[in-house]
Amino acid sequence: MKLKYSEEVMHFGNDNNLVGILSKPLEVMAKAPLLIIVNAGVLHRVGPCRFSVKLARELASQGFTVFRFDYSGVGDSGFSALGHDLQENHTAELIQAMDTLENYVRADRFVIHGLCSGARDAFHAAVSDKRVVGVSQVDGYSYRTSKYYWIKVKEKLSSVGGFIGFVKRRIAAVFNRASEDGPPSATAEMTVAQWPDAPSCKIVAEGYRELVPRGVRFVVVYTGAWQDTYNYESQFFDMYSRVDFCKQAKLIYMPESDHIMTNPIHSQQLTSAISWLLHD
Amino acid sequence: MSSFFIGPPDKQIFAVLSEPRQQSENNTLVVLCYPFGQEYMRAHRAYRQLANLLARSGFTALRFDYPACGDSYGDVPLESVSELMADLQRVVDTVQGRTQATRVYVVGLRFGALIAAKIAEQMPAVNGLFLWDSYTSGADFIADCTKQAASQVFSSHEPRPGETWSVHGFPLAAHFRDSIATFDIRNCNFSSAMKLHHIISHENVASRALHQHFGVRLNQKLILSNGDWNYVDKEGSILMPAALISTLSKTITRA
Repeated sequence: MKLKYSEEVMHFGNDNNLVGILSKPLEVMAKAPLLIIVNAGVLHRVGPCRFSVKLARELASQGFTVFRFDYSGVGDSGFSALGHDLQENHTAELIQAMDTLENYVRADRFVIHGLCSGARDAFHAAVSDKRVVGVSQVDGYSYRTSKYYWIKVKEKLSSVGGFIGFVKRRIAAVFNRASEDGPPSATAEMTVAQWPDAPSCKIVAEGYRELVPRGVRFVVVYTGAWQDTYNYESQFFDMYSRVDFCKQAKLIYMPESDHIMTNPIHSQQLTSAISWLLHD
Repeated sequence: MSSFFIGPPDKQIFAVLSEPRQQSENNTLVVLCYPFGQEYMRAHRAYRQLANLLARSGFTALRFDYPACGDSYGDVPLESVSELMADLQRVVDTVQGRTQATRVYVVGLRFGALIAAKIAEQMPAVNGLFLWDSYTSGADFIADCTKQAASQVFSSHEPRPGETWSVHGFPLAAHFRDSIATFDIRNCNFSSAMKLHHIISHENVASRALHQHFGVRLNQKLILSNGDWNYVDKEGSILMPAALISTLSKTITRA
């Protein structure tokens, strides 16, 4: 069967230390933005359960150009001389990727997809660079709302045993917090960088308030793995209740899904949603 | 480090070559065979680190993704081990020609150890085999996959014999399972010149069985470290047993 796309390895960034794969359709859909897929945590650009590869090839077959790459120190990319702030580094490297692609394939608009830390990266890159017109976030920032607590308490109180267990766990959590072990010793090259703390809900909301008037569109997905902070479908809109997303955000709640979407049914649902972002 | 695709357009294999920065006289190509599925994701960075250490010691290290895995082409899971071996032969031949390597070593972790043993048995150019937390046989690998496939929360039934299984999101075809199930490292007919090593993170039934079968011919080293390659968590974590990787690299460079 003849493929509807081709792929090439790209080396870019300072000292050409970053590695990515560009999936190019044989027939490019005119004026469509280019999709960039970023690393999910420390997993390399193939993505959990090979999702990034499948997504790139599926969309390239539909006429969209897709690029997925490894940040410095992840996957096959070398280390960089950037500073120590991981979030700033990721934003800088995403901008380097956009610059490279703008020169190489004349792309001037981008959609960024990320899972977990990648969801945060997609959001920050959109705030920093106006070429970003769409953001796809799976299990990104989440903040507990009053409704979240109400649902949690209702669940805990549904049985006496559950209530006692709930109180015990809360007490244990308070005492255990101070005794968590640090990371095991390792050589510098093998150390996995620590993710920065999440900014406040207010700061993230401000970001969304900047992005919506720019016309940026969003696919927002929360899986069951985020139950500790996200436990009902519309929580996203409650978290950012002062942001009017108009019709620019598509929210998908997948309480049955695990974080890395091992069930193909969930990843197919996500692929369709991202395709929506790429169509004007 | 250079990354590239090898092969015809619809059957391209993604490969990464880590070469010594300075001209090296040892002319040895070390072929690193990844484990399968979720374990491949967990081991990717450890493999990169191993490749870097080998390149610093003057060796050329080749990593590659199996067909329909990682960045290599294809969505349909592999049908047979012989199909896989034909693809790998092409990859090794291409890279060996490109690097002018006169010696070839193969390294494999878990499922990759089975494939490495198969390569070592079939390709005359290979003169060193380095197993890492190896299975004894394809049957053991399939038994492990059966447990993993059955433990997935979304599975509505036990994995069935004739179907392609999804093992934590990675497809494993029925014909491929059948063809690897009959392979056993203990039945391999390695040349007498072949150096055999096994680096293990912990002792288990497989390490004892291989030691018992090969006796003193197998240089087995225990480096106590994390070895739960098939562990699946909700975060998608990786495993980086630094001391073991370092020992493995030294074992290869001193072989």
